[in-house]
Amino acid sequence: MNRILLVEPDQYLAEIYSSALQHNGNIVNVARTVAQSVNLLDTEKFDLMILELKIAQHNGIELLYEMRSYVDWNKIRIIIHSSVPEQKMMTSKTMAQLDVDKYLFKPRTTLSELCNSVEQIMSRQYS
Amino acid sequence: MKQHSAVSIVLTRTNYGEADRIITVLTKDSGKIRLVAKGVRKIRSKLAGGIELFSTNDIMYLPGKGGLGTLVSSRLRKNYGSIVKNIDRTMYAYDALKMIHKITEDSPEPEYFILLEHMLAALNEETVPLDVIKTWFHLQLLKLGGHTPNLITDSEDHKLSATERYGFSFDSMSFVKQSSGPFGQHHITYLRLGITFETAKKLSQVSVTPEILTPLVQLTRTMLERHSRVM
Amino acid sequence: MTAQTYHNQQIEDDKARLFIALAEQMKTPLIKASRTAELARMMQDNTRLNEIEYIADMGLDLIDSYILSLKLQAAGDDIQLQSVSLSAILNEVAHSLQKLQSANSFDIELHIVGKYGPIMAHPAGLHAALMNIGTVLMAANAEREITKRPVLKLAARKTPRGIAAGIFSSIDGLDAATFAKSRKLYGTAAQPLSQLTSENGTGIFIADSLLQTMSSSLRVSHYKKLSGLAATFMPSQQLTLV
Repeated sequence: MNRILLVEPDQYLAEIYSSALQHNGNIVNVARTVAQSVNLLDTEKFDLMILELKIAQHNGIELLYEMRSYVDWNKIRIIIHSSVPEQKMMTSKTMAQLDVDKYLFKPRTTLSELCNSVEQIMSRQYS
Repeated sequence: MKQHSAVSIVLTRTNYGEADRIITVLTKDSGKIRLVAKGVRKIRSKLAGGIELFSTNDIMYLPGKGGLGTLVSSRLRKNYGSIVKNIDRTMYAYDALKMIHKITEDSPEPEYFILLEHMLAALNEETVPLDVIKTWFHLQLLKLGGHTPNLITDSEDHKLSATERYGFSFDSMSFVKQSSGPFGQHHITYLRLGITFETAKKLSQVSVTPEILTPLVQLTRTMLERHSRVM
Repeated sequence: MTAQTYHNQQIEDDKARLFIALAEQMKTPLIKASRTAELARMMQDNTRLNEIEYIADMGLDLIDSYILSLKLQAAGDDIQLQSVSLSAILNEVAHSLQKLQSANSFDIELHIVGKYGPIMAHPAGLHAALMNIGTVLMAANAEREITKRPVLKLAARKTPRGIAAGIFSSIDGLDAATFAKSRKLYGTAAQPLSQLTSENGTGIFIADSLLQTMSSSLRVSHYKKLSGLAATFMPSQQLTLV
């Protein structure tokens, strides 16, 4: 069973994504802010993080860099799931440098696609 | 052992053990230094506020063996807090720190510190367009590294003309006459100003259209990638 | 370029930016509706389908407020301002926002301070503007880690410059300088009000556009230790002549 940190500021969407991921057999913790995310990363052991970049007060880019500066969090797989288009945000080089497994454009990603992405990434992790 | 002081900007941070962080800072007068900041991760320490990214700090440190010193104290001098209000600027700020970190692998001159400070100040000011900052920063890095493009004559040593169109040769770092080339007088003029102006804010006061500016961001970035260790 | 031409160009640029901001903002209710339907199918649970109606209504309200702002701008000097009871409008808005309350768990309070007559405003425009502000503040509050039930206060009071009305909450991230900058950033930046909300807060800029047609405009204001957005209106002289 994968433990997922879902970083999603929108309460409604957090509940929808969380329900779908749980329905697919994952354990999900939701964080709405960067501070909440860091607290959860400190207290729980996550396999994967699903990250919206647009967060109030601090953005997901900061969280991403902060996470990758901690050796003990480097094993956590990352899916960026954001309403900011990928081409606007980062090159494939930056994604590789930050060890981001996948960039999903939120308006065009169904719940099934999100869940399948989690499964694919986690099965690669353990194969 | 005597403590040293410096004005510094944090380039990178990684964790070290349970509670420590290793930071690499660029200083004005002492080049690049690696320091361990003890106890900053888990508990509120007097250092915590002074090792943030996108800020200038006054630090006291003890030099150490093997190139790793110890941070003794840090006081925030200037925080460029507006950068993180904008996701695009945040992304570029991290990119810029990486570029500076790579370019200054050997002993860096004080000019790199001053450039980085100006760059962060520009990013912090939301009225200075990001593409202007990028173009200016790339040009300044090229200038400091001795790779300024030739903005006076073309690849055949003829004076650049206001009526001709040009392509660009990254090998010779000069413009090449091309009848339907993407670059013209306005591009070249803007590049000249970007090299000359001390700050991105000054450059932002020059009127420029996206049609001129957007290709220059990519052009200057490619120049850097070809001639400096930015990537 | 003459000053008038420059001014007209600015107006067209602002309109274009507001349209882009609206288009981006509309992705949110559409994503919510789409994913809700998908989740209902996934879990074979149709009870969620009611939520799609509520989500769609919110999207439609935003579009309607935008269309109204365009119409009022186009009317220019011919705009039909009326003598309007501010307390009545605030009451209506409070009731309309109540529909969102169960989803967002808010306390909505009305504070009408002192006695004053009607104001000159466009009633539908004013209602839409206040609804937009309330909706954005409620959504922004919902993004925070909140320890106690949040409150939204709809307040009106007399000031030396006229009658001020606004909506306030305990949320941080709203200050005059940030708001002034955000007016230049909507339609281009992903988060013009990034300290306030993760969204682009288009409702607030549409509200601003609506209020400007009534010779007013939004500003950051404070009320009883809460911060929010308010506008000032001229009292109506009409009834006093009767």
